[in-house]
Amino acid sequence: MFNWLADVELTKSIGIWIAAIGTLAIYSVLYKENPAYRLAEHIFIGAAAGYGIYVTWAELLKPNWWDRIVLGQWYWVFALVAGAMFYFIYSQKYVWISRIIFGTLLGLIAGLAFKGFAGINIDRIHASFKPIYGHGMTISQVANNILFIIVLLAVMAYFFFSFEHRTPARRIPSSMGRWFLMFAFGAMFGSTVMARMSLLIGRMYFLLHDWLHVAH
Amino acid sequence: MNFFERLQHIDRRIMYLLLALVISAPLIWTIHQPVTVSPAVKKAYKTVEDMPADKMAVIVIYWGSGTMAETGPQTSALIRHLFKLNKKFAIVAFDPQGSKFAYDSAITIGDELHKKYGVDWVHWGYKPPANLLPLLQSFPRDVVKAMVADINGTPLAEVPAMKGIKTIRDIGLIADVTSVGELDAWIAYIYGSYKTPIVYCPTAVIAPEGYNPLDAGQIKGMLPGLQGAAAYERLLHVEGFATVAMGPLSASHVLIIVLIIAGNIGYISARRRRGS
Repeated sequence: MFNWLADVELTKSIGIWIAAIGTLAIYSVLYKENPAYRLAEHIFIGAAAGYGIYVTWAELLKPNWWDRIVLGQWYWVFALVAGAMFYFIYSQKYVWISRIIFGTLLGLIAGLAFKGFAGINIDRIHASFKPIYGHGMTISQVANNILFIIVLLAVMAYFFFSFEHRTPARRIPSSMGRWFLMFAFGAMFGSTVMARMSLLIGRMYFLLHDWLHVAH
Repeated sequence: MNFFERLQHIDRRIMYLLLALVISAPLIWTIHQPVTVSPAVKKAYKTVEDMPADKMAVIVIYWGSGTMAETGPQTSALIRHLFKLNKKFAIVAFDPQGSKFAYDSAITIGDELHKKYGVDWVHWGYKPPANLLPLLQSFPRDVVKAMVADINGTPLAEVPAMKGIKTIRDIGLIADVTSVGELDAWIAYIYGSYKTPIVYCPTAVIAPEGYNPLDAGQIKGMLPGLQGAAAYERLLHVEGFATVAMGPLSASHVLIIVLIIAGNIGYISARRRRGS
Protein backbone atom coordinates (compact mmCIF):
# COMPACT_ATOMS: atom_id res chain seq x y z
CA MET A 1 0.00 0.00 0.00
CA PHE A 2 2.83 2.35 0.86
CA ASN A 3 5.28 1.11 -1.78
CA TRP A 4 5.13 4.48 -3.52
CA LEU A 5 6.97 5.95 -0.52
CA ALA A 6 10.10 4.10 -1.69
CA ASP A 7 10.04 6.01 -5.00
CA VAL A 8 12.55 8.81 -4.27
CA GLU A 9 11.66 10.90 -7.33
CA LEU A 10 7.94 10.72 -6.61
CA THR A 11 8.28 11.66 -2.94
CA LYS A 12 10.66 14.49 -3.93
CA SER A 13 8.07 15.83 -6.40
CA ILE A 14 5.32 15.62 -3.79
CA GLY A 15 7.58 17.48 -1.33
CA ILE A 16 8.23 20.24 -3.86
CA TRP A 17 4.51 20.61 -4.61
CA ILE A 18 3.64 20.80 -0.89
CA ALA A 19 6.40 23.39 -0.36
CA ALA A 20 5.26 25.43 -3.38
CA ILE A 21 1.61 25.45 -2.27
CA GLY A 22 2.75 26.35 1.27
CA THR A 23 4.89 29.23 -0.04
CA LEU A 24 2.03 30.62 -2.15
CA ALA A 25 -0.40 30.26 0.77
CA ILE A 26 1.96 32.18 3.08
CA TYR A 27 2.55 34.94 0.51
CA SER A 28 -1.21 35.25 -0.09
CA VAL A 29 -1.34 37.36 3.10
CA LEU A 30 0.39 40.13 1.12
CA TYR A 31 -2.92 40.56 -0.73
CA LYS A 32 -5.07 40.19 2.34
CA GLU A 33 -5.63 38.00 5.40
CA ASN A 34 -7.23 34.69 4.36
CA PRO A 35 -7.87 31.10 5.57
CA ALA A 36 -5.21 29.58 3.26
CA TYR A 37 -2.55 31.73 4.95
CA ARG A 38 -3.79 30.82 8.42
CA LEU A 39 -3.82 27.11 7.56
CA ALA A 40 -0.28 27.18 6.13
CA GLU A 41 0.98 29.19 9.11
CA HIS A 42 -0.44 26.71 11.62
CA ILE A 43 0.86 23.71 9.68
CA PHE A 44 4.35 25.25 9.62
CA ILE A 45 4.35 26.05 13.34
CA GLY A 46 3.05 22.58 14.21
CA ALA A 47 5.52 20.81 11.91
CA ALA A 48 8.48 22.88 13.15
CA ALA A 49 7.56 22.26 16.81
CA GLY A 50 7.04 18.53 16.25
CA TYR A 51 10.32 18.21 14.35
CA GLY A 52 12.09 20.18 17.09
CA ILE A 53 10.83 17.75 19.75
CA TYR A 54 11.95 14.76 17.69
CA VAL A 55 15.44 16.20 17.09
CA THR A 56 15.79 17.17 20.76
CA TRP A 57 15.07 13.59 21.76
CA ALA A 58 17.00 11.79 19.01
CA GLU A 59 20.12 13.98 18.89
CA LEU A 60 20.27 15.32 22.44
CA LEU A 61 18.38 13.55 25.20
CA LYS A 62 18.80 9.98 23.93
CA PRO A 63 22.59 9.93 23.40
CA ASN A 64 23.42 12.31 26.26
CA TRP A 65 21.02 11.10 28.91
CA TRP A 66 18.80 8.10 28.20
CA ASP A 67 21.51 5.85 26.67
CA ARG A 68 23.79 6.57 29.62
CA ILE A 69 21.13 5.46 32.10
CA VAL A 70 20.41 2.32 30.08
CA LEU A 71 24.15 1.53 29.98
CA GLY A 72 24.27 1.56 33.80
CA GLN A 73 25.16 5.16 34.63
CA TRP A 74 22.04 5.36 36.84
CA TYR A 75 23.12 8.61 38.51
CA TRP A 76 22.05 10.51 35.36
CA VAL A 77 18.50 10.14 36.71
CA PHE A 78 19.35 13.06 39.00
CA ALA A 79 19.48 15.32 35.93
CA LEU A 80 15.71 14.78 35.73
CA VAL A 81 15.37 15.88 39.36
CA ALA A 82 17.34 19.09 38.69
CA GLY A 83 15.25 19.77 35.57
CA ALA A 84 11.99 19.14 37.43
CA MET A 85 12.97 21.69 40.08
CA PHE A 86 12.34 24.51 37.56
CA TYR A 87 8.65 23.61 37.39
CA PHE A 88 8.07 24.40 41.09
CA ILE A 89 7.88 28.04 40.02
CA TYR A 90 4.18 27.30 39.40
CA SER A 91 3.57 26.28 43.04
CA GLN A 92 3.13 29.03 45.64
CA LYS A 93 3.95 26.61 48.46
CA TYR A 94 7.08 25.05 46.95
CA VAL A 95 8.40 27.94 44.87
CA TRP A 96 11.55 27.95 47.06
CA ILE A 97 12.63 24.71 45.36
CA SER A 98 12.75 26.45 41.95
CA ARG A 99 14.73 29.33 43.49
CA ILE A 100 17.57 26.95 44.36
CA ILE A 101 18.06 25.87 40.75
CA PHE A 102 17.43 29.35 39.31
CA GLY A 103 19.91 30.86 41.78
CA THR A 104 22.57 28.29 40.89
CA LEU A 105 22.06 28.92 37.18
CA LEU A 106 22.13 32.72 37.56
CA GLY A 107 25.34 32.51 39.58
CA LEU A 108 27.00 30.40 36.91
CA ILE A 109 25.86 32.67 34.09
CA ALA A 110 26.88 35.84 35.95
CA GLY A 111 30.38 34.44 36.41
CA LEU A 112 30.58 33.48 32.74
CA ALA A 113 29.28 36.89 31.65
CA PHE A 114 31.97 38.65 33.68
CA LYS A 115 34.65 36.54 32.03
CA GLY A 116 33.04 37.20 28.63
CA PHE A 117 32.95 40.97 29.07
CA ALA A 118 36.72 41.19 29.31
CA GLY A 119 37.25 38.75 26.44
CA ILE A 120 35.00 40.72 24.12
CA ASN A 121 35.78 44.36 24.91
CA ILE A 122 39.48 44.67 25.74
CA ASP A 123 40.57 43.78 22.18
CA ARG A 124 38.02 46.22 20.73
CA ILE A 125 39.10 49.09 22.98
CA HIS A 126 42.70 48.34 22.07
CA ALA A 127 41.81 48.31 18.35
CA SER A 128 40.25 51.78 18.65
CA PHE A 129 43.68 53.29 19.45
CA LYS A 130 44.71 53.77 15.85
CA PRO A 131 47.94 55.43 14.70
CA ILE A 132 47.68 58.48 12.45
CA TYR A 133 51.36 58.44 11.59
CA GLY A 134 53.76 55.55 11.27
CA HIS A 135 56.41 53.99 9.11
CA GLY A 136 54.98 52.24 6.06
CA MET A 137 51.47 53.63 6.42
CA THR A 138 49.77 54.58 3.14
CA ILE A 139 47.83 57.82 2.70
CA SER A 140 44.54 55.91 2.61
CA GLN A 141 45.37 54.15 5.90
CA VAL A 142 46.17 57.50 7.53
CA ALA A 143 42.95 59.02 6.15
CA ASN A 144 40.92 56.00 7.33
CA ASN A 145 42.39 56.16 10.82
CA ILE A 146 41.82 59.92 11.13
CA LEU A 147 38.23 59.48 9.98
CA PHE A 148 37.78 56.61 12.48
CA ILE A 149 39.08 58.74 15.36
CA ILE A 150 36.88 61.74 14.41
CA VAL A 151 33.77 59.54 14.20
CA LEU A 152 34.60 57.74 17.47
CA LEU A 153 35.12 60.98 19.40
CA ALA A 154 32.06 62.68 17.86
CA VAL A 155 29.76 59.75 18.67
CA MET A 156 31.14 59.56 22.22
CA ALA A 157 30.52 63.33 22.55
CA TYR A 158 26.88 62.77 21.51
CA PHE A 159 26.41 60.30 24.37
CA PHE A 160 27.96 62.64 26.93
CA PHE A 161 24.89 63.69 28.90
CA SER A 162 26.56 65.00 32.07
CA PHE A 163 26.16 68.64 31.01
CA GLU A 164 24.15 70.63 28.48
CA HIS A 165 25.59 71.01 24.99
CA ARG A 166 25.41 74.82 24.92
CA THR A 167 28.79 76.06 23.74
CA PRO A 168 29.92 75.36 20.14
CA ALA A 169 32.84 73.27 21.43
CA ARG A 170 30.34 70.85 22.97
CA ARG A 171 27.46 71.28 20.50
CA ILE A 172 29.31 70.80 17.20
CA PRO A 173 31.00 67.43 18.01
CA SER A 174 27.70 66.21 19.50
CA SER A 175 25.80 67.27 16.37
CA MET A 176 28.41 65.60 14.15
CA GLY A 177 28.07 62.45 16.28
CA ARG A 178 24.33 62.41 15.66
CA TRP A 179 24.90 62.70 11.90
CA PHE A 180 27.45 59.90 11.95
CA LEU A 181 24.98 57.73 13.86
CA MET A 182 22.31 58.50 11.25
CA PHE A 183 24.70 57.40 8.48
CA ALA A 184 25.40 54.18 10.39
CA PHE A 185 21.69 53.48 10.95
CA GLY A 186 21.04 54.15 7.26
CA ALA A 187 23.74 51.65 6.27
CA MET A 188 22.33 49.11 8.74
CA PHE A 189 18.83 49.60 7.36
CA GLY A 190 20.20 49.11 3.82
CA SER A 191 21.74 45.85 5.01
CA THR A 192 18.37 44.83 6.47
CA VAL A 193 16.65 45.53 3.14
CA MET A 194 19.26 43.37 1.41
CA ALA A 195 18.58 40.56 3.88
CA ARG A 196 14.82 40.67 3.34
CA MET A 197 15.22 40.79 -0.45
CA SER A 198 17.60 37.81 -0.26
CA LEU A 199 14.96 35.76 1.54
CA LEU A 200 12.30 36.70 -1.02
CA ILE A 201 14.68 35.81 -3.88
CA GLY A 202 15.29 32.45 -2.21
CA ARG A 203 11.58 31.65 -2.28
CA MET A 204 11.10 33.03 -5.82
CA TYR A 205 14.03 30.93 -7.02
CA PHE A 206 12.45 27.85 -5.44
CA LEU A 207 9.13 28.53 -7.18
CA LEU A 208 10.65 29.32 -10.58
CA HIS A 209 13.52 26.82 -10.57
CA ASP A 210 12.55 23.81 -8.47
CA TRP A 211 8.78 23.91 -9.02
CA LEU A 212 8.05 25.49 -12.41
CA HIS A 213 11.48 24.80 -14.02
CA VAL A 214 11.50 28.14 -15.84
CA ALA A 215 14.61 29.60 -14.15
CA HIS A 216 18.16 28.45 -14.84
CA MET B 1 -5.95 63.24 -5.80
CA ASN B 2 -3.32 64.55 -8.25
CA PHE B 3 -0.30 62.68 -9.61
CA PHE B 4 2.10 63.78 -6.85
CA GLU B 5 -0.30 62.82 -4.09
CA ARG B 6 -0.81 59.45 -5.76
CA LEU B 7 2.95 58.88 -5.64
CA GLN B 8 2.72 58.92 -1.85
CA HIS B 9 -0.16 56.47 -1.75
CA ILE B 10 0.83 53.67 -4.12
CA ASP B 11 -1.08 50.54 -3.10
CA ARG B 12 1.35 48.18 -1.32
CA ARG B 13 -0.01 45.27 -3.41
CA ILE B 14 1.18 47.03 -6.58
CA MET B 15 4.62 47.38 -4.98
CA TYR B 16 4.67 43.67 -4.09
CA LEU B 17 3.68 42.81 -7.66
CA LEU B 18 6.45 45.04 -9.07
CA LEU B 19 8.91 43.43 -6.67
CA ALA B 20 7.88 39.93 -7.78
CA LEU B 21 8.33 40.98 -11.43
CA VAL B 22 11.76 42.58 -11.02
CA ILE B 23 12.97 39.51 -9.10
CA SER B 24 11.46 36.95 -11.49
CA ALA B 25 12.74 38.48 -14.73
CA PRO B 26 16.49 38.19 -13.97
CA LEU B 27 15.92 34.64 -12.65
CA ILE B 28 14.14 33.52 -15.82
CA TRP B 29 16.39 35.39 -18.29
CA THR B 30 19.58 34.92 -16.27
CA ILE B 31 21.23 38.31 -15.87
CA HIS B 32 24.78 38.00 -14.58
CA GLN B 33 25.81 40.70 -12.19
CA PRO B 34 29.52 41.31 -11.55
CA VAL B 35 30.39 40.25 -8.00
CA THR B 36 32.91 42.31 -6.05
CA VAL B 37 34.94 40.44 -3.46
CA SER B 38 35.38 42.54 -0.33
CA PRO B 39 38.53 42.38 1.85
CA ALA B 40 36.44 40.70 4.59
CA VAL B 41 35.52 37.81 2.26
CA LYS B 42 39.12 37.53 0.98
CA LYS B 43 40.32 37.25 4.58
CA ALA B 44 37.75 34.53 5.29
CA TYR B 45 38.88 32.60 2.19
CA LYS B 46 42.53 32.90 3.19
CA THR B 47 41.81 31.79 6.76
CA VAL B 48 40.18 28.60 5.46
CA GLU B 49 43.08 28.06 3.03
CA ASP B 50 45.65 28.55 5.80
CA MET B 51 44.05 26.16 8.29
CA PRO B 52 46.60 23.39 9.06
CA ALA B 53 45.67 20.15 7.29
CA ASP B 54 45.97 18.05 10.47
CA LYS B 55 43.34 20.11 12.26
CA MET B 56 39.57 20.08 12.01
CA ALA B 57 37.25 22.97 11.11
CA VAL B 58 33.96 23.38 12.97
CA ILE B 59 30.99 24.81 11.06
CA VAL B 60 28.49 26.23 13.54
CA ILE B 61 24.90 26.15 12.26
CA TYR B 62 22.78 28.71 14.08
CA TRP B 63 20.06 29.18 11.47
CA GLY B 64 16.79 27.63 10.34
CA SER B 65 14.45 27.66 7.38
CA GLY B 66 13.62 31.35 7.86
CA THR B 67 17.05 32.53 6.69
CA MET B 68 18.01 29.58 4.51
CA ALA B 69 18.32 31.75 1.38
CA GLU B 70 21.27 33.57 2.95
CA THR B 71 22.86 31.11 5.34
CA GLY B 72 22.35 28.04 3.13
CA PRO B 73 24.68 29.31 0.33
CA GLN B 74 27.24 30.47 2.93
CA THR B 75 27.26 26.99 4.49
CA SER B 76 27.48 25.26 1.08
CA ALA B 77 30.37 27.50 -0.04
CA LEU B 78 32.36 26.73 3.13
CA ILE B 79 31.67 23.00 2.88
CA ARG B 80 32.73 22.95 -0.78
CA HIS B 81 35.93 24.84 -0.01
CA LEU B 82 36.90 22.49 2.84
CA PHE B 83 36.16 19.41 0.72
CA LYS B 84 38.29 20.81 -2.12
CA LEU B 85 41.17 21.41 0.28
CA ASN B 86 40.82 17.87 1.72
CA LYS B 87 40.41 19.34 5.18
CA LYS B 88 38.23 17.62 7.78
CA PHE B 89 35.30 19.45 9.30
CA ALA B 90 32.53 18.95 11.83
CA ILE B 91 29.07 20.48 11.78
CA VAL B 92 27.45 21.44 15.07
CA ALA B 93 23.91 22.79 14.94
CA PHE B 94 22.02 24.96 17.38
CA ASP B 95 18.82 24.84 15.34
CA PRO B 96 16.97 21.57 14.63
CA GLN B 97 16.02 22.60 11.07
CA GLY B 98 19.47 23.99 10.28
CA SER B 99 20.96 20.70 11.52
CA LYS B 100 19.08 18.77 8.82
CA PHE B 101 19.65 21.36 6.06
CA ALA B 102 23.41 21.47 6.70
CA TYR B 103 23.60 17.67 6.82
CA ASP B 104 21.78 17.35 3.47
CA SER B 105 23.95 20.05 1.94
CA ALA B 106 27.18 18.33 3.02
CA ILE B 107 25.91 14.94 1.78
CA THR B 108 25.04 16.42 -1.66
CA ILE B 109 28.36 18.27 -2.08
CA GLY B 110 30.24 15.29 -0.60
CA ASP B 111 28.71 12.92 -3.18
CA GLU B 112 29.69 15.33 -5.95
CA LEU B 113 33.30 15.56 -4.70
CA HIS B 114 33.55 11.89 -3.61
CA LYS B 115 33.80 12.60 0.11
CA LYS B 116 32.53 10.19 2.72
CA TYR B 117 30.57 10.90 5.86
CA GLY B 118 32.42 9.81 8.98
CA VAL B 119 35.80 9.89 7.24
CA ASP B 120 36.05 13.35 5.68
CA TRP B 121 33.46 15.05 7.84
CA VAL B 122 31.16 14.48 10.78
CA HIS B 123 27.98 16.01 12.14
CA TRP B 124 28.02 16.46 15.92
CA GLY B 125 24.23 16.80 15.95
CA TYR B 126 21.82 19.33 17.37
CA LYS B 127 22.54 21.15 20.63
CA PRO B 128 19.90 23.41 22.23
CA PRO B 129 20.84 27.12 22.14
CA ALA B 130 20.57 27.28 25.96
CA ASN B 131 23.52 24.85 26.10
CA LEU B 132 25.83 27.14 24.13
CA LEU B 133 27.67 28.67 27.09
CA PRO B 134 28.19 25.41 29.05
CA LEU B 135 29.31 23.77 25.79
CA LEU B 136 31.83 26.53 25.11
CA GLN B 137 33.30 25.78 28.54
CA SER B 138 33.44 22.00 28.19
CA PHE B 139 34.21 21.16 24.57
CA PRO B 140 37.58 22.95 24.35
CA ARG B 141 38.94 20.61 27.05
CA ASP B 142 37.50 17.36 25.70
CA VAL B 143 35.68 17.48 22.36
CA VAL B 144 34.54 13.84 22.31
CA LYS B 145 33.27 13.87 25.88
CA ALA B 146 31.33 17.12 25.38
CA MET B 147 29.81 16.32 21.98
CA VAL B 148 29.18 12.61 22.86
CA ALA B 149 27.69 11.24 19.61
CA ASP B 150 27.17 12.16 15.97
CA ILE B 151 23.83 12.85 14.28
CA ASN B 152 23.23 9.12 13.80
CA GLY B 153 23.88 8.28 17.46
CA THR B 154 27.34 6.79 16.82
CA PRO B 155 29.71 7.58 19.70
CA LEU B 156 32.24 10.15 18.44
CA ALA B 157 35.14 8.03 19.67
CA GLU B 158 34.15 5.47 17.01
CA VAL B 159 33.93 7.98 14.12
CA PRO B 160 37.14 7.84 11.98
CA ALA B 161 37.04 11.58 11.22
CA MET B 162 37.48 12.27 14.94
CA LYS B 163 40.79 10.41 15.15
CA GLY B 164 43.36 12.72 16.76
CA ILE B 165 40.74 15.37 17.61
CA LYS B 166 40.82 15.73 21.37
CA THR B 167 40.84 19.36 22.49
CA ILE B 168 40.39 22.85 21.05
CA ARG B 169 44.08 22.72 20.05
CA ASP B 170 43.05 20.24 17.36
CA ILE B 171 40.43 22.64 16.00
CA GLY B 172 41.91 24.97 13.37
CA LEU B 173 38.88 27.09 12.55
CA ILE B 174 35.41 27.99 13.77
CA ALA B 175 33.02 29.12 11.00
CA ASP B 176 29.96 30.65 12.64
CA VAL B 177 27.06 30.62 10.15
CA THR B 178 24.30 32.41 11.99
CA SER B 179 21.10 34.40 11.89
CA VAL B 180 21.43 35.14 15.63
CA GLY B 181 23.85 37.52 17.35
CA GLU B 182 25.76 34.90 19.37
CA LEU B 183 29.18 35.75 17.89
CA ASP B 184 30.32 37.45 21.10
CA ALA B 185 30.06 34.15 22.99
CA TRP B 186 32.46 32.49 20.54
CA ILE B 187 34.81 35.47 20.76
CA ALA B 188 34.70 35.60 24.56
CA TYR B 189 35.17 31.92 25.33
CA ILE B 190 36.96 30.48 22.29
CA TYR B 191 38.94 33.26 20.59
CA GLY B 192 39.56 35.08 23.89
CA SER B 193 40.86 31.97 25.66
CA TYR B 194 42.44 29.88 22.89
CA LYS B 195 42.92 32.26 19.91
CA THR B 196 41.18 29.79 17.58
CA PRO B 197 40.48 31.65 14.30
CA ILE B 198 36.81 32.51 13.77
CA VAL B 199 35.18 33.20 10.40
CA TYR B 200 31.82 34.94 10.73
CA CYS B 201 28.99 34.24 8.27
CA PRO B 202 25.98 36.29 9.41
CA THR B 203 22.75 37.22 7.67
CA ALA B 204 22.88 40.73 6.23
CA VAL B 205 20.62 42.03 9.05
CA ILE B 206 23.25 41.36 11.71
CA ALA B 207 26.32 41.78 9.46
CA PRO B 208 27.07 45.37 10.68
CA GLU B 209 27.77 43.89 14.14
CA GLY B 210 30.65 41.95 12.62
CA TYR B 211 32.76 44.92 11.53
CA ASN B 212 33.94 45.83 15.04
CA PRO B 213 35.36 42.39 15.84
CA LEU B 214 36.75 42.20 12.29
CA ASP B 215 38.57 45.50 12.82
CA ALA B 216 39.82 44.31 16.21
CA GLY B 217 41.12 41.04 14.72
CA GLN B 218 38.74 38.93 16.82
CA ILE B 219 37.33 37.36 13.66
CA LYS B 220 39.47 36.43 10.69
CA GLY B 221 37.04 37.19 7.89
CA MET B 222 33.36 37.59 7.20
CA LEU B 223 30.75 36.57 4.61
CA PRO B 224 28.00 39.19 5.02
CA GLY B 225 24.71 37.70 3.85
CA LEU B 226 23.95 36.48 0.37
CA GLN B 227 26.42 38.92 -1.19
CA GLY B 228 29.20 37.43 0.95
CA ALA B 229 28.23 33.93 -0.21
CA ALA B 230 28.28 35.10 -3.87
CA ALA B 231 31.75 36.61 -3.40
CA TYR B 232 32.95 33.35 -1.83
CA GLU B 233 31.48 31.38 -4.74
CA ARG B 234 33.42 33.64 -7.09
CA LEU B 235 36.67 32.86 -5.25
CA LEU B 236 35.80 29.15 -5.54
CA HIS B 237 34.96 29.56 -9.27
CA VAL B 238 31.52 28.09 -8.65
CA GLU B 239 28.20 29.47 -9.86
CA GLY B 240 25.72 28.61 -7.13
CA PHE B 241 22.44 30.12 -5.99
CA ALA B 242 24.17 33.13 -4.41
CA THR B 243 25.78 34.11 -7.74
CA VAL B 244 22.48 33.67 -9.61
CA ALA B 245 20.70 35.77 -6.97
CA MET B 246 22.91 38.83 -7.44
CA GLY B 247 20.97 39.97 -10.57
CA PRO B 248 17.54 39.90 -8.86
CA LEU B 249 19.08 41.42 -5.71
CA SER B 250 20.39 44.44 -7.63
CA ALA B 251 17.09 44.77 -9.53
CA SER B 252 15.09 44.73 -6.28
CA HIS B 253 17.37 47.38 -4.75
CA VAL B 254 16.91 49.61 -7.82
CA LEU B 255 13.13 49.26 -7.50
CA ILE B 256 13.21 50.19 -3.81
CA ILE B 257 15.43 53.23 -4.52
CA VAL B 258 13.02 54.33 -7.30
CA LEU B 259 10.03 53.92 -4.94
CA ILE B 260 11.78 55.92 -2.19
CA ILE B 261 12.60 58.71 -4.67
CA ALA B 262 9.03 58.68 -6.06
CA GLY B 263 7.56 58.88 -2.56
CA ASN B 264 9.83 61.79 -1.65
CA ILE B 265 9.09 63.67 -4.88
CA GLY B 266 5.38 63.24 -4.14
CA TYR B 267 5.83 64.43 -0.55
CA ILE B 268 7.91 67.53 -1.45
CA SER B 269 5.63 68.49 -4.37
CA ALA B 270 2.48 68.09 -2.29
CA ARG B 271 3.99 70.21 0.49
CA ARG B 272 4.95 72.96 -1.96
CA ARG B 273 1.47 73.00 -3.48
CA ARG B 274 -0.07 73.26 -0.01
CA GLY B 275 2.35 76.10 0.81
CA SER B 276 1.49 78.07 -2.33
